[in-house]
Amino acid sequence: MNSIDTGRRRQVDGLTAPGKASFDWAILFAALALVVPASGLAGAFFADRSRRKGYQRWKAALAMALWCVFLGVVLTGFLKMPVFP
Amino acid sequence: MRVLAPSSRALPRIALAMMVIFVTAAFGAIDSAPPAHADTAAGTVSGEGGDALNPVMIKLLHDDGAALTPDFGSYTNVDVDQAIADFVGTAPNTFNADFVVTERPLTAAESATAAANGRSFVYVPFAAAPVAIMTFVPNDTYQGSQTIAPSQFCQHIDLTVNDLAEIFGYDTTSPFVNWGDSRISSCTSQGATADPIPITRWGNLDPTMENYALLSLLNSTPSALGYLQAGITQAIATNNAEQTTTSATSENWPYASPAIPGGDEALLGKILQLNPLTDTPSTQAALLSLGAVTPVSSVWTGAPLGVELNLPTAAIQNAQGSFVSPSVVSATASEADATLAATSNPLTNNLVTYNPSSTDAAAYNTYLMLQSYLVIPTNGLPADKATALAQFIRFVLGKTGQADIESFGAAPATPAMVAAGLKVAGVLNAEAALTSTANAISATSTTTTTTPASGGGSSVVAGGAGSSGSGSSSTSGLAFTGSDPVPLVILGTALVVIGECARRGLRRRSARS
Repeated sequence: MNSIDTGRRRQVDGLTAPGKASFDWAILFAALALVVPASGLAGAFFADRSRRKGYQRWKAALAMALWCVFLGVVLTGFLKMPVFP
Repeated sequence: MRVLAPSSRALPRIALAMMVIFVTAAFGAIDSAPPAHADTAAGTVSGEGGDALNPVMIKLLHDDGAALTPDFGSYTNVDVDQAIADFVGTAPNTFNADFVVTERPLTAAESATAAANGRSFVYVPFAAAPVAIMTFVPNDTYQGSQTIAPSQFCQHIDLTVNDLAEIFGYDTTSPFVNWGDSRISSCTSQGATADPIPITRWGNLDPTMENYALLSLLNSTPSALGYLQAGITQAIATNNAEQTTTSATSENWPYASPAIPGGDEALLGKILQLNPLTDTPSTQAALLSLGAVTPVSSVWTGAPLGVELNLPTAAIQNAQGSFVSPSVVSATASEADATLAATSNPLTNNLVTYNPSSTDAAAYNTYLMLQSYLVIPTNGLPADKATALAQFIRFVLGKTGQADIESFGAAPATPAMVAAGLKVAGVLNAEAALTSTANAISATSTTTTTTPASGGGSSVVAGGAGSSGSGSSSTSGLAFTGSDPVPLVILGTALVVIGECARRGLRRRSARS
């Protein structure tokens, strides 16, 4: 019982940690970067904002933003679309 | 506390499950949408149209060929009506052309047919070619020798609308006797006067916009219309096997003889006796149809087949009163007086209206201006074709494409037309991207193998574009073209905002407990 409560507490702490919202925004913009690579820059900005607020997983968001920018550039280049629409 | 604890623990799982259900349903909706497909060959962007801009289209597709890879661009002259019929389709999702080059907007019936068959489209104005009145008349330096040189033809005879009407119609009181008639002005280049040989009006037996343009000009004044009607009546009386008994504006040539089917090339081939191997016109006067007068696209009067034809053309009186011959300069001037429609209705958006100007001395007669449009489908194309078409539009409206157009004697697009066309190219790219993504998702959802995140991302690129070429005619992703990515962005934003709200709720609840 005690371990369940501890686990739940940890989960709630993880969800409500400072910088989690910026982390979420970073992931959203990173996903968008697959179609509009320029939005990956916004993803990187939010990843950095997440870092400044002390969220420990900010590196994952930054890596995803950069990786999605790369994929987005490859995809748009392959489809001959402009990187900055 | 006892009631809240289990539901709080289950909350993330429920949220996750709902998200999975929602995403699955969204992609299911994409996949279950009715498929649209073209019946044109996979990997070939098939264009059709009339002959007015045929040499230009061949040049444009040739110069852009490498950039269209892996697709191949083609253009076939099948006459403008047949091209549009192929484009609008014969049955739902059954089309025989991927794009069309037309010099007229689609009729209401054609648009309705396209809509009924599941195809929406937009216009991209990209070139404006004058309809030249070719006057194949020697000047007075020609003394009846066996051969005739290009310099021995009468260039730019000044013709009013009534002159044209009397030439293509009939003046019952005092008909033109021949090209030496005193009412016809003299040549403006070498040789002072035209050779007094009989006037022979030639026409195109196919429905063409060159025919339409000339007939609309002859219908523009009552006196000209009277001459035209008299000409048709006289043709009936003299057994000239008339095509029609009315002088109404039409794509069909009113006289049956001499008239040649197959477009401008076939018509000029007969008049000039073009060598089928070298495309050079004959210099044997006896073989040539001297005295011929016919409307042709000015694109065909220069060097449409790589060999200089240097055809003599008339200078037609414009609305200002000046006599202007067909050229890039006069076409551009006429185009500058035109207006480009900007409406929310794709059936009328980007259509160009030529306005006669009473002050523009340089403009070619507006009735004889042909505005060429690329008619582009905005749904139903495979990703590769949509991408290739977008690229082609950018090329056509770009520096090289516009220079190609000018080199044939047509006016390039105005900056407003270029901007409108580039917008269409962007729409096509977005469609292609969505189609590719939908295809890739469809492909990955059927193969339930677990792949690393990066590997999955790469397969989206390759699968989306690579498979679209071969599987183009029946892939379900085609129905996705025309969808808007904005709803997905809004959905993502909403999810993040909902997450933030839930987070604040959790914080409050934690603080209370």
